Amino acid sequence: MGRGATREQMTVAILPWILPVGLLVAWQLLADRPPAGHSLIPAPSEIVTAGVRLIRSGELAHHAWVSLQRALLGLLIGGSLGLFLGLVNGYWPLAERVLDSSVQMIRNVPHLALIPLVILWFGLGEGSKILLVALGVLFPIYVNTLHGVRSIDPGLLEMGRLHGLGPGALFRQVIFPGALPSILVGLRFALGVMWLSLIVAETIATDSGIGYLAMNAREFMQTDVVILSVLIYALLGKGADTAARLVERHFIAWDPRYLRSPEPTARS
Amino acid sequence: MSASPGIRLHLEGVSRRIAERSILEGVQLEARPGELVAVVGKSGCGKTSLLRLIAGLDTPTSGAVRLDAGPGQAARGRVRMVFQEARLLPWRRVIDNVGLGQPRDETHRRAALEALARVGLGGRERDWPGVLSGGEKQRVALARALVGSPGLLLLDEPLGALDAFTRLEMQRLLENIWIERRFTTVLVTHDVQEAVALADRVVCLAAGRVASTLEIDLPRPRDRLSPSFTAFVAEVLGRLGGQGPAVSPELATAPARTLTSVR
Repeated sequence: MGRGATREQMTVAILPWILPVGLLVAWQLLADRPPAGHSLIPAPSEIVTAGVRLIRSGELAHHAWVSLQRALLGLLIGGSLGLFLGLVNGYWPLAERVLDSSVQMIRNVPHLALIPLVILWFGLGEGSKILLVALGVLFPIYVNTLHGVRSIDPGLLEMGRLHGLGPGALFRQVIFPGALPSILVGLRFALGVMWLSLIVAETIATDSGIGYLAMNAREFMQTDVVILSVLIYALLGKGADTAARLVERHFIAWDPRYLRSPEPTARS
Repeated sequence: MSASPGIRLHLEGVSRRIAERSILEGVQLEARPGELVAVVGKSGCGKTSLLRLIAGLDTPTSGAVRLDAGPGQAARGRVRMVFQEARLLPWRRVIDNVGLGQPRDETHRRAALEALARVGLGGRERDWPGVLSGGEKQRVALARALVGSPGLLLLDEPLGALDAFTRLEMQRLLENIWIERRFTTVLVTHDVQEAVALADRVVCLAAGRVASTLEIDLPRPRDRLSPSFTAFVAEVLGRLGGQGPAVSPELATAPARTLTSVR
């Protein structure tokens, strides 16, 4: 938090790190014992070395970038579709009658179970991976958007109409901002599903991406690279979640829960 | 600020039924331009339904609601309503709530600021509604209704959820603004004192019908402790079929207040 932190604040800040750091140290000490060569449990230092090696060669950046692109593209496609369906079905009862049952049926099929089908139809290219991610993120966004639109106070809609707001203005000024908190909750759920879908899709058939990096390393018994890949996923996931939180803070600044401190400081 | 002429309101045998249940039955009501009419009655008597019909939020099953703003003048767009809940958009700042539905330019922004200052909230325009107290929210709602020169102001128990002190303050504010602007006003309330303090005419509604009408010809500002004021309160309560003059007005209104706030 800052230079003026007291001892007590320092202690509080350190507390959550004691366990993970302690584990790392213990791991390093224990892993140093076995004979040279590839071990099944590489020491943290070996993972760092592997990381440095892959960063130097540019492989890590390449694979991470490919994975990130797939994730974001899938999120964009599936998210837009979920958002659109959620808004339409939330606002227009007829659309819900027509569409909701079908959407719910598809939602209840675990989308990863469709992998064989997706591969048959779309091959091993980019399309199938992006499709899986899109399919995964669609539903959390859909369900939460629908809920958000539904939970808007009808009194506000009535008041808006009374003040001469047309359908467009009503959507922009009342419906969308009213549903936004719920939509953002959906987005955070979707981010979790996004990485999950991508990891699975990338381990099955691909020649690039973090998932490929891990699978390829497994074939050569490079346990350090496998663990490194897992760490990269964790970092990417954490980064996405932090970004979503910042977005939330920015767009829901009016929420009484955030109003306590006038200038909210973003925490990660 | 030029005083805009109020809208003439005329209800011709207005009835409303929901399913087979009759909510309003042949209501005949007229408000002259600039008149302040209070509608009182027990909860469930159709007060709010009546106001919603006038606002155009619901349509009558039979009969007609006529608004007349004078020759060649549109009336519908100059009807404003204040509800019991403030109904502010929590995601828009106070100033944007006041200017809701108005074009976003400097002239209208200034009008919104002016309205905000008039209700005593000058300098609060950048606040979020979430930080305002109940009374302040209701002031913002009132300011929103004042922007764009309303010709007919519909008040649906706007002070019902406020504490006694804030309510008195708001009543005074309402009366002063109404005297300045002279828009036609229909005030629905369960508080007989409030009706007698503010209205030119009190309409008693019972079971969806106009039971009786009473002209309040007391000079303004009205002294709530004067015997004539108390007599009017007792008269209205008597006509509503509540307790007679033997009970003090505060006590007599108490049960009605609890009932409506639960609604």
